[in-house]
Amino acid sequence: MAVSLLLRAALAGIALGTAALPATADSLWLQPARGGQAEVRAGTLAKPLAALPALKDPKASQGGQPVPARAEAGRFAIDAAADAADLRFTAVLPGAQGVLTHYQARLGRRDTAPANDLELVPTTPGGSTFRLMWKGKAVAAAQVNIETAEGWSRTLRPDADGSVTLTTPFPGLYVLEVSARVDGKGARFEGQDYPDVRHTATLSFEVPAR
Amino acid sequence: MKSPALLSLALAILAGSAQAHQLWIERDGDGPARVFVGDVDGERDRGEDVAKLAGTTRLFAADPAAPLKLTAHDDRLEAPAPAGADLRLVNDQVWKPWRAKDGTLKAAVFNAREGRRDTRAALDYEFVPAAPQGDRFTLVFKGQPVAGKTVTVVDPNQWAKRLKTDAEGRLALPARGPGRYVLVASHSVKEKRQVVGETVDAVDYTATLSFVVH
Repeated sequence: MAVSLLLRAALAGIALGTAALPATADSLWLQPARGGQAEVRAGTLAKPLAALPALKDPKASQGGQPVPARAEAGRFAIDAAADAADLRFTAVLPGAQGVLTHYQARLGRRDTAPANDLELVPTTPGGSTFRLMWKGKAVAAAQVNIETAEGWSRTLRPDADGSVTLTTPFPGLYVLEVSARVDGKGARFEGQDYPDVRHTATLSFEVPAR
Repeated sequence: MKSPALLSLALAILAGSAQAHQLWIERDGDGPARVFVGDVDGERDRGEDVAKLAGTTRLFAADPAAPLKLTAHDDRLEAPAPAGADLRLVNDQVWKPWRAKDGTLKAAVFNAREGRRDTRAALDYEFVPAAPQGDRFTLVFKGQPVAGKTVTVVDPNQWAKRLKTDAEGRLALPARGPGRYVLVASHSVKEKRQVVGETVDAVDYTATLSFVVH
């Protein structure tokens, strides 16, 4: 992909998602579910969508092995033990107005190597410093949005080395989110052209109550 | 925000839009009042964007008719302020009045307050403590409580949470330890108002309240 970078100080899935693209989910993440399994939800942690958008190519994996992902009302149920190893889920959303979004979710912060194209990766297993990796290479995360189960949210800016470091003052689920746009000629998906290709990566993990 | 190191990559990280703007006051003890503009939990404006507000920002302590003299610094306006007083400011000229899509002429009014001693409102739109130094507030617009309004609370570590005022316009501050808190609320009202010689049809009010918990 020989293309140049277009840095935009605008938007994010979120701002545009609600205003111009009602069919686009704000965010998509993995979280622990009942019975020790995991599930995929979309929207925002404070207000998950009652129905998932029309996602294509849903794929779940754990430790490099595929695991079943069942579409249910408002979620994908993942048939895997949420705490056995880090889980990953990817899906594609052919959206309105020529926007193709690649969702890439990860649950757990043990692996220090990425598996998804765009992934926030801890620098140490279980650590709170993360690097953003794009196809295996570190890139600076201009902005990381964080939501917590307690309803507190914040944005993080990268340190000089491009990493972001987080404190975890609240118990429960944290969802870190980064959105990026691939500059270039766009992409073709299921016979349609999409001039605007985006990647949204989330990393979620739970912090136990103290 | 631009990162030259990224320029050879085929990926642009999307940053959040700076849609909301606030003015708020910070003060440590009886030190100078520092006025900031930007996002309370995000980027702050600098340079000319800050300096140009020195002439239009009316900052005062007890007497609205006695504004404090503001000096522009790179990231803030600053003024010495009397000890032991709550501070308030008004600016209705951060933006020139603009035409909304429906043709109405709109203006933005920024009301900011620092300190929670005074249990009366002095600004159009203001967070008023139920008791001096208390953790319960009523959001008041021109003397009336504003019910069911979304309020953003920014804690001393820049974590933000959205709360809603109750049926009486009240809200309680979530306890998050010592440090500076900032409360933010907006309110859009259809009303005639004179702004720099123009009569606008509607006004977007923004109220901030900041204080330090010891």
